[in-house]
Amino acid sequence: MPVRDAYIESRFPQLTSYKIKSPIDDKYNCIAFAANDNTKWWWPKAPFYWPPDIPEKEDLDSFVACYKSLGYKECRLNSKFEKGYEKVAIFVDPNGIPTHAAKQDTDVKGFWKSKLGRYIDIEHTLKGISGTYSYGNVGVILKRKVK
Amino acid sequence: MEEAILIKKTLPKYSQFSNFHLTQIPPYLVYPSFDTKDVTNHLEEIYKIREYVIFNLTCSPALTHRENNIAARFNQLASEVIEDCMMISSPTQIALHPSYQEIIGMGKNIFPLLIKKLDETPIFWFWALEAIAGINPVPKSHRGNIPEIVKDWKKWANTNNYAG
Repeated sequence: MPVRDAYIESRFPQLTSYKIKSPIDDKYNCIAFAANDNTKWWWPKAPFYWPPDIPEKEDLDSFVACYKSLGYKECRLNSKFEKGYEKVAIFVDPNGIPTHAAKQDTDVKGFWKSKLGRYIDIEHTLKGISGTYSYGNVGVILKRKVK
Repeated sequence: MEEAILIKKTLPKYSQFSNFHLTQIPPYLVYPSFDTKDVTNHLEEIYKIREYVIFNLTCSPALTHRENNIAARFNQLASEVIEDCMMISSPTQIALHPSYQEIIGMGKNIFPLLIKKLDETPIFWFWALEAIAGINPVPKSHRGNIPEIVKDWKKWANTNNYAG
């Protein structure tokens, strides 16, 4: 894997420390990746996948419900690493519309993992991808016990 | 205005616009008089002349110029969408990109180009395909499965003669 990516750095000026973990892959996106699914593109709109019985609305409540259906519970904006737990952070734009999800890295404290749209996936800090490009800021963090 | 002049001078000027249709040639371009009263009194004749010109132009190689312009414009817009939306997951966000909106506005002309784009950057184009075709041929069982969704669209395009 290359060490740096000019395209990412141009879009995320605050991203100073990151690692590229995988190549471009059209099959899955950030929401799927945070749900540990690398086989489908998740979004609450056909023809993309959305968990059954979860409202297909592009709002934070639906995205929270999506991860709750996977066993996650809200923990407000507590991004600190907690042993025995895995966490997901949902990003929202200034209108509160979900844009992105990242999952906490359980191997490297303080770091998170994101699949960047159809682009590559990286290991990064939350601050590194916050506030810029089209991702906005963290709207909510959820956690569940590691299985 | 003679047909030769219309083809040589006027058509290239109008066909640079991707949504140009031959019926948009202003009637005054096919009639020599610029006097409003004269034009008003000869409207029926003017429209008949324009129809005649259009009939001949539909067999004209000048149309190739128009088709080439459509493909070039589509490719330029598609590149802009891909460049700006490479890291975006939301199909809504992608579809709201101004270049994407213009692509949808190009209508059925670019359907074969969209189908071809599915081989390179599939996830961007489903919204445009559905908006133009007015249908979503993807069964529920294939939702989220990008390779299967691509197959569904290609199959639909072939069945409906949209594959190009």
